[in-house]
Amino acid sequence: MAAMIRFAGISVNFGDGAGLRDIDLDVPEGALCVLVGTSGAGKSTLMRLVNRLVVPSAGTVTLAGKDIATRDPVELRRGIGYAIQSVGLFPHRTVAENIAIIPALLGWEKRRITERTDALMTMLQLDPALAGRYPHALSGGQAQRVGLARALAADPAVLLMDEPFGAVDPIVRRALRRELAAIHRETGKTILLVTHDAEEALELATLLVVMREGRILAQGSPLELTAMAADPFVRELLGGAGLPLRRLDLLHVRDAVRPGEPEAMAPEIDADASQLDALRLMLEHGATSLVVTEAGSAVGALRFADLDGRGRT
Amino acid sequence: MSRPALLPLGLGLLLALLASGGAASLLWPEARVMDTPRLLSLAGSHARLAVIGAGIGIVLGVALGLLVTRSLGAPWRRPVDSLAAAAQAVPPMVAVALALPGFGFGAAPTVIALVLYGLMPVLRGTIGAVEAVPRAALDAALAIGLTPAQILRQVEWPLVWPLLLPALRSAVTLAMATAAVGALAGAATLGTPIVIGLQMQNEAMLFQGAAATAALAFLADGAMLLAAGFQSRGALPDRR
Amino acid sequence: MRTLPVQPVLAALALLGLLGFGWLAVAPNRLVSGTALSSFAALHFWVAAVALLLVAAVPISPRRPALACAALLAALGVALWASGAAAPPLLEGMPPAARVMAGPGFWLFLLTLLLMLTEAARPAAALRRTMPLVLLAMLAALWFGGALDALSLAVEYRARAPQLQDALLRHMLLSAAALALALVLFVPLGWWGFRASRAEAVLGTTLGLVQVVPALALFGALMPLLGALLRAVPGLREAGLETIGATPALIATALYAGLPLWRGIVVGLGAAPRDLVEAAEGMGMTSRRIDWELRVPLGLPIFLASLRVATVQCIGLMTLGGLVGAGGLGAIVFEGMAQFATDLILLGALPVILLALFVDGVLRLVEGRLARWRQ
Repeated sequence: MAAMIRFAGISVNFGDGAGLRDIDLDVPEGALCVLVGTSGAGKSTLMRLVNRLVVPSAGTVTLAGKDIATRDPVELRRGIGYAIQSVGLFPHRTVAENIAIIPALLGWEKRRITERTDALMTMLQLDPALAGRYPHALSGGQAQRVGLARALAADPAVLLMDEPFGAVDPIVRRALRRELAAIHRETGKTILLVTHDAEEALELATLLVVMREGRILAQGSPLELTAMAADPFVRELLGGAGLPLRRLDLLHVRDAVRPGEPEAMAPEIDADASQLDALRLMLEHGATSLVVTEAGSAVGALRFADLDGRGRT
Repeated sequence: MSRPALLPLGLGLLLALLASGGAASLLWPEARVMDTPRLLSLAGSHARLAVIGAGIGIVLGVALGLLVTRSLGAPWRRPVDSLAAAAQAVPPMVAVALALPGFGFGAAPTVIALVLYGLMPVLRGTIGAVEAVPRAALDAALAIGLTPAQILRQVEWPLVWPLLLPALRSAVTLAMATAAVGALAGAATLGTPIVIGLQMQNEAMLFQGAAATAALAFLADGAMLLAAGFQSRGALPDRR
Repeated sequence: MRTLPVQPVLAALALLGLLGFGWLAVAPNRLVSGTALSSFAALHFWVAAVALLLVAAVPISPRRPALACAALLAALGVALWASGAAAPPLLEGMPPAARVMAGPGFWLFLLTLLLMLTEAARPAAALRRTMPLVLLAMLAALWFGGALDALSLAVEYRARAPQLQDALLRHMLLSAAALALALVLFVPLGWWGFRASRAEAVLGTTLGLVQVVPALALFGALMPLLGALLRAVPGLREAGLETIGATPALIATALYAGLPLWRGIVVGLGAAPRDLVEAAEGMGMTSRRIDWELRVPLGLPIFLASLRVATVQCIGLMTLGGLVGAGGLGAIVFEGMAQFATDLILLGALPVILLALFVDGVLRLVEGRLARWRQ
């Protein structure tokens, strides 16, 4: 697949040692690319290169095959959705007005703007009664949803999200994360997301990029990066001692199932469940194997030894 | 030496030189000018009035400010606030004029106006500073068993007074300025040559009075800045 | 926890004014202070009515604010009306120049009662709006109904009405002109100061220094300075500039009002949080749009507050214009001070204070209305 965003030979020099060095990265169209790293690693800087909030000292950024340096920054930015941790809702504009900012900038017709706003509020499960409220009246989770709606308003092909769920409690955070994953699946937008939360990164990413001190340390799918061979810093960042469990969460029961009979009285698990759920079930029942079912009928067995693909080698 | 103080101090000295009898007679050779010793004695009484007025105002303002932020005086917060806001609408000159019938010509109406003008900013500043004391510090003080008096002395006051310095500075500067208006009510201040100059159409004296008043105000402001600079260096870690 | 309640203390002060000091004074003419008269001697049994209403308002004040306001307004109305009614008999057999003036007790009573009214109206939002209107209506009824005609302030007013009305109008015009001058000069400078931090430092220091110069000195110094300027460039005289009169008053007042205006613009433009500005940039807003759609609306409360401070300052400072021949209410105050005539001083000073309070109140209302988005 063609690269939607391509960073080639990028360096950013802030003159204080921070910045970016020798970045090469291709984000394929339709990817959900998560930049993860400790604070100061340069994740946000890398992301902000895309809408030219940061200008590289060397190298080029291309968006859909065009060098962004040749494009007018204002026009460029209007075509890119942007959501940030503090949400950045305009306090003097209502919820509906906030969502409509970019469409209004683009000169959409009034009716089209209203329709789009309504549709987005429905999609993000925002109560229509909130449309006329000012941001101070919103809860943290609602504000994040409005911020996301605003970023999506003009239907941009690319979405940049800087710690978009940083300021909400864990439960709302999980719900928002699930919604973002769903939106990504449905719309196929290319999303570049910055976070320092490894769990979030592993759950969302189709392409995971680990950064440290202005460099890319590793990139690949979550499964690739959680594999045993990865760099020790990457392992530490992505979960340390808990990494095997997080990895199990990424794997499906379906991938480890074997034909044959499990031991008697084994509990049942659906083929679409994660292997972490399977392990949980085994621990709960003191079992070493599970009956794997699909649409209610048994299709095989899952043995403890097969978890995380260990049985296959 | 703190650098912000240099500008007002320098300007003050320059204006004082310009105001002197010698300089004025050079600039206005034909006019009658006020001699330097007389100006100096007026400056003395001007400063004395201002310091007395501002001093009383500051003491009262801090005391009232602390009172209304205790639980005893808590109901007075809002009324005192609106009174202070209303008092801002009374210009110093009008305050002097209003005190005149009650207290007669001389220093008294001026001191009254000065007290009023010192009191209001200090009162507001004190309330603001007390409110800026972090809730957590007060909770911690309560939790370790300090009495209200101990909290005031050991927690609130040390945190409050550095924040008060700007209010004190503006109170003193304001007093230096307002004392000049006192000349209209017959107080002997550096406003006196201005009033004489206006009455006798004497530009030289008008200028002398204006320059000398401004000089004194600048010198006082510079002195306050210096004092604040020394104090804050002692009391607060450098914030930058 | 023990607290010191407001209304009982204020009521005690009002009672002290009513009973402890001279209520009225009878003087043979307007320039002497006269002999003091207690409220008993002046108001007779009405004193009891006033005191009862006053005391009755205290216990009901927290729970029944409307009733408390009514009682306090009644106390004030009765006190004013009875004082006005007491004057004619006192003046009988006196020379025509004789006057009945308000004494210190009257003023203490009036001031504390107004505070009590504000305090009583505080718990109810509707009352906070209506009470001042009712108070104004009552005062207007007393004044235009002639109930206060025999008191010295009204006598002084009748003697000076056209002059006072002119002075008030001129005062308002001069203050507005000074404010307009300050706006024209300092709003662009504020914009510049926001854009260029160097300019901000220099302008801030300069305007801060102007603020230190006593008003009287600035008004005084401008006359010889303008004189020298006009001698050097006579053409300016034809342009309408003068060494005395409106010119120095306008310049001095505008210079003082400059600092709050300028600072309001600089701080207001900087009030939009950084991440908001970045979000706007990230969405593709041009910097001009960010200025007008983000910085200006978010700075509006600060602009308005600084405008309010500057306006109140202009009204107050313009009083000194009376000193340099600009006229206005200050001229009346100075005339009163020169004659040592209390009534004339009040006649000049009260409108200045009321005008400033009025403008302050109106602009506060506007501030509250405009910032709907802030809780």
